Amino acid sequence: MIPAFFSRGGLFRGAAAVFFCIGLAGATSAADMSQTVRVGVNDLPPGKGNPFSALGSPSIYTWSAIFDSLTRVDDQGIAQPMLAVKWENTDPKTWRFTLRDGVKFSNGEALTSAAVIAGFEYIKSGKAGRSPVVGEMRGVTAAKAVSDNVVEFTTGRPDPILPNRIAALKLVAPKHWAEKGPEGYATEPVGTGSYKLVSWDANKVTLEAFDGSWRAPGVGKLEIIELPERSARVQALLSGQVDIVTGLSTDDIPVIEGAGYKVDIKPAAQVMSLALPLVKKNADKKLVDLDTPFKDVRVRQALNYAVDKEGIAKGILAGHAKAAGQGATPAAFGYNPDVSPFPYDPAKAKALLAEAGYADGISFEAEVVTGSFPGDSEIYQKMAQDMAAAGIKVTLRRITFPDWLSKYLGRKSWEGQAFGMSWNSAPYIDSIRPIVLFSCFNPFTFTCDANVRGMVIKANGEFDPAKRKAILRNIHKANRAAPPAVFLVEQIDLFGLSGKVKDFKQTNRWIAYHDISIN
Amino acid sequence: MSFDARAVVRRIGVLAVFLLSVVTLLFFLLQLTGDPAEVMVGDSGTPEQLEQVRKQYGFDRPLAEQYVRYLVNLAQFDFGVSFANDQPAFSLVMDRVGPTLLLTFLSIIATLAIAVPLGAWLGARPDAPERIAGGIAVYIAQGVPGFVAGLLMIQLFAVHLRWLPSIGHEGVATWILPTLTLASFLAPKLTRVVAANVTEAMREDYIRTARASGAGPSGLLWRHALPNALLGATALVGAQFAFLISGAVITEVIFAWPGLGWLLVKATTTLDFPVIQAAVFVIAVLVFAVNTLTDVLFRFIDPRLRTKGI
Repeated sequence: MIPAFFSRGGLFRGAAAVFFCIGLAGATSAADMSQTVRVGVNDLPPGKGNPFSALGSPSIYTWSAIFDSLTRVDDQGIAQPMLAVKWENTDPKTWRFTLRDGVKFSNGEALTSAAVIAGFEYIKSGKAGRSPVVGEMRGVTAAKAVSDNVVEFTTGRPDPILPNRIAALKLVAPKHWAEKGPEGYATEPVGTGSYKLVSWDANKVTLEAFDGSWRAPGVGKLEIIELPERSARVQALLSGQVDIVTGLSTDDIPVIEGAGYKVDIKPAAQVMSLALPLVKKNADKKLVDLDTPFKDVRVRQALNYAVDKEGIAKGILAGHAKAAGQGATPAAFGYNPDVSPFPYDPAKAKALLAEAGYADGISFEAEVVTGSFPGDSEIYQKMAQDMAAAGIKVTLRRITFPDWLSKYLGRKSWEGQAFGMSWNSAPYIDSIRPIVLFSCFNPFTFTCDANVRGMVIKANGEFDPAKRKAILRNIHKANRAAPPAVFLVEQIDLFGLSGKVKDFKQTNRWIAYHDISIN
Repeated sequence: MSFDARAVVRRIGVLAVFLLSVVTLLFFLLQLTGDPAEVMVGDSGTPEQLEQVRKQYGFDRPLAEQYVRYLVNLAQFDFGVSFANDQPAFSLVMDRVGPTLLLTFLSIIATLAIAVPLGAWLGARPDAPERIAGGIAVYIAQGVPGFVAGLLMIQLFAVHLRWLPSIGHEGVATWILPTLTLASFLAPKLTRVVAANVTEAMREDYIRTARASGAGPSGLLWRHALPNALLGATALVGAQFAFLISGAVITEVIFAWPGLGWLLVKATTTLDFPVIQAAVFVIAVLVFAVNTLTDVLFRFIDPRLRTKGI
């Protein structure tokens, strides 16, 4: 069987990956200890240095300096080599990964298959119950060391995107892990990344270059400072106290650029939407249809036509984001470039509502969480305002994230008829992730389309990337025709950079610290 | 002043009832905020994972049982481990008490250093035009939220002038802006209280007597009127300690000051119940201790209270 690494993206991607490898592995010169990079982040990892305690931001901002995974997903949704240099599926339910030679952890332990097995066994032990990695790895049933540098995973059903999924599993030094356990590792983390820990204080993590790393940095010291208040982060950047800041808003762009600094703007792997629930789980844990105006596809289409998404992208997100027409961003594997966002057409929205028997319009309440994305509060308000012009009265009800989770996971009932929802392709940047989450396969789903269900089954069993991509694109097409949500905008990530910072790169919030240098 | 054993026992009894009320109220209020198991697992968790976490942390037990277990553990100062990182919640909180007390103590000193002389100056001759203007300025300052005051000070002293750092708590330079910010919560109010008390004191008979005895304006103010005016100010500072702690929450977040308030904010957003419970418990004890200390100080400052046996 052809290794997926080579078969998936053709010659260009193969070559890009080789350069990626060489670029990383070539970074072996000694770091300049006189230089320090200071990063202001909105939050340090709540689980400190236990790399299984979280996924994504904010932990990734710190962990991308310390830890590595077997693979890392690039900005095209393709798995790239990290601590694994190649992989192949020896049968539909078995994936075999070959580890990079000569890699060491910062405590001197060599990277072997034991590191992969240690992490995997913890995730499957039942002791890591709250770890989000458990959910991501639920389809993987076993892992075994074939040799010191080859490890094999078995999945319960064919899993064509395991190389993407495995990026969630960061590798720990096995002896240190066995000695310290999760609690001890949290305060004394050891990884193969560019930096090693010096101290972990309440508001600051101090790291120094790990010169023996396979991706050694050029800068000697790294300080990651927790600055929870956004305006304080901006001011810390402008006053020269930090060099890089995370989690900015579009409002900050003129302030930072006006001061002569830079803003790095990249699409996030998330699409902001308003979910239009059609089903819910009943007392017998079965999905039942809801009696709602949204069950008529024309109403759902009308809601999508009623919102000026281009106006939101240009006005509220200052033209740095794009209007969304599907539950994936262009970076996610399976994104359909032919599916365009619904145009802003209030007259058509009114006509569709009238056709569906709602000539006098409809009214409903939407429960939303704000403060998660740049401009989200204003976006929801603009959405409600646009809908009102088309005869749709939306009452926005702000709720907390824990409250939203309780409702989404079914412990509490929604008080509104719609709710804010993000279609998130991270961490493996494949549009199958939100599609499965919002499909008949998830007991917490708000929608269950039989047509989509059939295509998901096909996609999950398809190993040919081109065919799999075609299936995913068809799902997005189907979701455009019968939208389960009002797709609003593709969200963006903004980082502020001082003029001193050179070669800053981030992909899906993973910061390539080894590339950064200071003028 | 003699040692009053009954008063001490009474105080301890009040403290016990106060703490039991606080922890009980908090326990049941936290149940309304959400399910920590859901926050830990997130939106991609499975029902099985959710059940496993609930079992692991005892959330699957009846509420009454959880409450009794909580009280039993509390009696042993065991608040459990943080849901976020499995570190003992009480140690996490105690690590943050020092920075918060430092910030609060410094801000009280700064508040007194600003409010007492300014209040005395304003109150001594309240009809003078420059003092009317000063009073209006203090009145306006009282209306400026501490949050805004902090950001304005950062903008001026850290961003434009680059004189002072605005983050961390490493060294005296990093203490200045957070201290002034927290002081801005109370200083205007205290200034107005001191000014009003001084104005009132200046009309008293003993001031007239002192003036007749040849005391100059400065002596009248600083030696006679102000000491009496400070009684009310002391009461205000003691009573406002809890208010300052709440101000410290905001100040710590703006300045990345690793104190108790900031920890409490983080724990609240992640529903880290053990840390919230430990933090509120410690804050309650601190507020009680400061109120008691204020009462004791009052008995030293005002001899009338001693003779009345209050």
